[in-house]
Amino acid sequence: MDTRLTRTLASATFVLAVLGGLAFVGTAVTHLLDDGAVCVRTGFWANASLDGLPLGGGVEASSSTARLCQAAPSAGQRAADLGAGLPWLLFGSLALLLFSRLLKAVLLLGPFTDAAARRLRVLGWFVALGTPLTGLVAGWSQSWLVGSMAPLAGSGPTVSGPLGLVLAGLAAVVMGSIMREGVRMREDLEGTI
Amino acid sequence: MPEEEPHAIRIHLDRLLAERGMTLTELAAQVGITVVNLSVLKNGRAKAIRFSTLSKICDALQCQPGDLISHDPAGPS
Repeated sequence: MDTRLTRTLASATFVLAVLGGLAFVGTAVTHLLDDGAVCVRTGFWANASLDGLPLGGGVEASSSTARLCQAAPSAGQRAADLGAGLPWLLFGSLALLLFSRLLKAVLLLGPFTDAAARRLRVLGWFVALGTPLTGLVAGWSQSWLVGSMAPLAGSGPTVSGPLGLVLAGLAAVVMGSIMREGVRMREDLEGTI
Repeated sequence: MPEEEPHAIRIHLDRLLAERGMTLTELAAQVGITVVNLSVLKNGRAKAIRFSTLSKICDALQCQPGDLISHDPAGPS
């Protein structure tokens, strides 16, 4: 095993996790202290026809996402603005932190050990369960914010983000469980003459 | 090595080697396993022994498995 690469990766992921955490705190503070407009994107008017544009013959224009901005937003809108972006930042920082802990366990104790298998399962469950939860918080916040600016669009529970991460998380859980069984089998064999 | 489960099996390799005037190293060479593994067996830290290994040990020491291994009714040490 290339320990130098693993050590570099462990340090890099830890640094990224710390930077992500600092970005989370910094973003939260700056957003709370900011008294500017709050903006959000929505696809509610996607494919709405755009008439009056100077287009050539036979050309139709339709919109994709619309950007809504609220000057002098309410406290609720500021909170929803935070809720739309911050959860993913926190999720990413914690995931990187768990990954760096996994790599440290691999460096200190070896890859096929109880500790490494356990930390891989923890990371997997965190990603598998955290992704839809984070997506729900971020999506619902964004949906509420859109609804507060454009009541016609309405708001409701929405899950946003890369939900494919759930499969990645479950794969990590399965791999961790396989590794745990492998560790048990190796421990049994270690005392066999 | 992980913590071992207590058991009541006794290994009499020391006695058999002394009776035959053989060293652990010589036995390891004849049986074809390492001295370290044979030490694990001698010191009662083995969890299991393959039949093939047991056969080779018995061939080398000219003994029966019951000469090498016994069960101690007094229980785990």
